[in-house]
Amino acid sequence: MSGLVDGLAYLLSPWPCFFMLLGTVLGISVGSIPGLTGSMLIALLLPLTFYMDSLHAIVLLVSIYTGAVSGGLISATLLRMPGTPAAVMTTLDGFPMAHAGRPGRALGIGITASFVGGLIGWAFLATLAPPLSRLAVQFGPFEYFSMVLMALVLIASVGSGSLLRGLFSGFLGVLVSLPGLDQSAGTMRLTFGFTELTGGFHVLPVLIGLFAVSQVLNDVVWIERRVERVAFSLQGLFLSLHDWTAQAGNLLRSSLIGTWIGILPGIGPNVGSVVAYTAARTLSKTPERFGTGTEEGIVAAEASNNAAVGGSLIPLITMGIPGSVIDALLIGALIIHDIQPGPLLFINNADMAYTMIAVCLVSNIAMYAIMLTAVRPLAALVHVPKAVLLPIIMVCCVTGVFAFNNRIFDVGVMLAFGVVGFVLERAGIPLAPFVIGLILAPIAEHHLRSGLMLSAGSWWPLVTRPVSAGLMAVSLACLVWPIVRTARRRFAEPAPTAPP
Amino acid sequence: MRTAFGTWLAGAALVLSPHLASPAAAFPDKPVQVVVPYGAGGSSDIVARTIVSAINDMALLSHPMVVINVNAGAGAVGFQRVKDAEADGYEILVSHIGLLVSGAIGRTDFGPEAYDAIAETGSINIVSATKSDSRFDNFEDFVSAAKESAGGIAEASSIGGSVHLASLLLSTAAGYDVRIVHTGGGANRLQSLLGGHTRHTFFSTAEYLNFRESGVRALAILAPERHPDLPDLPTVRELGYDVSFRISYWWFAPNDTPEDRMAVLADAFETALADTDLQQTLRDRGLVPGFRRGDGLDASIEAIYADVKSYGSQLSPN
Amino acid sequence: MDRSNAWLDILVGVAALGVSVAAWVSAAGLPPPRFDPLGSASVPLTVATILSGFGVVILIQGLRRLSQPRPAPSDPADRPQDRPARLRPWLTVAFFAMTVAYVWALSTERVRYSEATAGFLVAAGLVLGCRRPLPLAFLMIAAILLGYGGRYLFTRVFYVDLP
Repeated sequence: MSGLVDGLAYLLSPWPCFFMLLGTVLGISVGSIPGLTGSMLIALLLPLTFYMDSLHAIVLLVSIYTGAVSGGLISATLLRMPGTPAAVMTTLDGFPMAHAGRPGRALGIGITASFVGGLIGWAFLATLAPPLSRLAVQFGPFEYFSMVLMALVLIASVGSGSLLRGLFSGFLGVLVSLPGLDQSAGTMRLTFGFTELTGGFHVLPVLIGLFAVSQVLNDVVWIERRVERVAFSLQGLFLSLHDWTAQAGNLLRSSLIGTWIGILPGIGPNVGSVVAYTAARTLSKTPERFGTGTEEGIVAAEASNNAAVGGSLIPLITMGIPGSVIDALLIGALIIHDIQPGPLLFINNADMAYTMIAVCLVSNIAMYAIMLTAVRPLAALVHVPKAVLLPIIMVCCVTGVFAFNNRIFDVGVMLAFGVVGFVLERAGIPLAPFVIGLILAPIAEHHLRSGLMLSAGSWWPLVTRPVSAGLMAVSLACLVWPIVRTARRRFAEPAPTAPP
Repeated sequence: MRTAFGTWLAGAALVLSPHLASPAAAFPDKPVQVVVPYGAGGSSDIVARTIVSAINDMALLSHPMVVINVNAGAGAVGFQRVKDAEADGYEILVSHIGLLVSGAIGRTDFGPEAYDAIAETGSINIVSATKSDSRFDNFEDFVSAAKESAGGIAEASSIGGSVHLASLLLSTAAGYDVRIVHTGGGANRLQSLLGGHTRHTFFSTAEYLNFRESGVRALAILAPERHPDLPDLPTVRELGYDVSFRISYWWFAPNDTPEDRMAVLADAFETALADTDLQQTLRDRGLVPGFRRGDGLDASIEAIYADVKSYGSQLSPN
Repeated sequence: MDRSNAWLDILVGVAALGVSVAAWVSAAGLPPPRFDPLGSASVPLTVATILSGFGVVILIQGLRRLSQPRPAPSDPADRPQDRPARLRPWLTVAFFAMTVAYVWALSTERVRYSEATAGFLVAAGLVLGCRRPLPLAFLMIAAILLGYGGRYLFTRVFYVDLP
């Protein structure tokens, strides 16, 4: 405990405090600009941290991580363009609410949920890291598979539109995730002879294309529409007692889901928000309101992705296993400074371990304060003429996607999926299921195939391993429950009789 | 006041300034790009950046080297990119046995022959490992259990990766079979072992030195001699299996790069690797520093490639 | 639903069908797996089969809608705020074409990032109808900042090699 106090005190000294604030602001900025992401900024800053004090470097990088995951909600809510992949789910309800004239409310809920989620994720990081990470490694391929399946079966129900079109979109997302070097065995598939396709379609350009570029195109089509001068009020920015009690269960559940998915090695905030959103929708009393600007949807998406930040640091600190893509970069930063992440961290570099834990808390608080202060100037974004805003966003998307992996091919992929997203939306096909398929299907396939190698081809472990069996049962319930519910409702209120 | 941030800025400025002072030789007159065909923060990336930053700090070239990551298709996209680059010495590749495996199993339609090798800058060894509380007290235990086991002991691996090759070499020499379970990179194999899902795996020495306190234990090292940081760990050769395997880091330029430019680059690597500070840094990161260039290097790569090719079909996923 | 939507359905259905057939054929040609029981081909084959089914249904829906007599004009209450605005599909095509041209110019590596970006920003802004002095000035500043500042930041600080 005293170590943590030292860590917090360290962050109050001038330089660490400066780097913490710098990182949070940078993170929120790249997070909120469509096309630029936290993982890109961290990857780009990695070589520069060579020349920094190791503690300063980690303070900077972890603050960027926290800021970037939160910043995405701003553009997701105001422009319907998720600034960062973790905020895709936030667009579903954040934008409709802002569009209906309550941007202050939508941002307020998102920011507060981010803050609370971050706090809950952090609480687990600070208190239960070792036992939780021991639990997480017990999670084998079959458990991963059945957990991801739980969210996948809900693919069709997310977003608005018909069931058929939802499923179509979901399977299209799965198909787009398939080309390239197959993660499970290293076979090249569906590359059609193009070397550039051996790496497949990276999630980032596809998502930026589908959401940011297609939205830019959409805005151009409607460019003559006068921007309704919604009197931007900060009303509802702070949550009332009633809000807290109404959302308490959702906040807690979404944060717990986010934390747990963060802890699981290899998957982070993006997956966390997808799973928490689908869970919130299934358990909601009014699932039909999801996608139309419901508060529950924003809370679930934002609480879980921030909780995943704290969660994903748990396996990093305790075992040296990255909890998400950004954590793999953090491990790289530690190794560059000759610090070994893992159980020895608390013995050899206790100051580093406690600084990481402390900065996770402090940058979360800083994020809350900065975002609340920045809401009013940011809201002016809505009034910037589209003719000015849209080209700038396009340049950010092109530059960011190129810098991410130094490939012009990725930029082409982004533009192509911009058109795909634009056409699909016009045809009444929701994009949210596409994202779920794209992000979750590769995880499900990889772990299922890994599991089958382990069990020498037997599928039984899916139902004989207790955790996996439980999760499979929940998946089945998720699949059946909406049908039962509809049937019951129909039974309770008999269909209107034919007009006389 | 010399603050940490000050040092950082000074350091950054040192690298950023284009070294105008030196009376530039003809080559290079702009930054040389080093393509790391894997992600930022991975072991290849760290090795490359460590050496590149040493070269830049010592100002061994008239312009700094810059590292760019092209992480797609298990390296294939990066390999192709440098192969197709102009042979002017401004775009070079850092790689290891992954390039050879890629060619041997046909993931790319070329192997190391598509490049001119500039230099080898050290290598890394592979250890056989199990969970700390495993029944296998030593490597012999594991071999005899593997021979008796009907379905084969589950081994966390990365199909077509260097640990898979190490596994093949060793199991062929010792005459046992394992059940390969693809889990992926070092951290994934660690997780699989710790969770008790698989019972055996291979790590690079760099990975093992990072992971060992998490609850894994090495059984043997696939090296000609014992590792200085792991003096108690027997080599497989001591145990009677004639297997030696290491992952060397090679720097390649596209075919037909002018000899004088190759020499400028190779000289820079040679001078950097002679520096004891850099050697120590590399050792701290689990590597065995060493330098090779010229015909000896070509012959060594060719020999390893022939070896890898002989296992080619077994390394392939189908 | 109007006829343009029917054509969109037909487009999406045919495209999905085409993509899934291509994926199916490509996956069917994969060699059998050596290590894992499922293999690399099974998921693509399943997904392509299901997707082609959905593609057919959407195609049929589109065709059916096309054959129906033109329905009464849709209820204007549907999209109250959208009604007064004029749709600008050709403007969208022009803007997208400019973006493609910009990216293509960058990929040839004959144009510098800074000039291309600044040029694209100003040109796209003008095409999109930015005429008043204040927004135009803002756009110019953004063009200089993003073009030259971006180039400086990436090439000098991050060492990303922008064209």
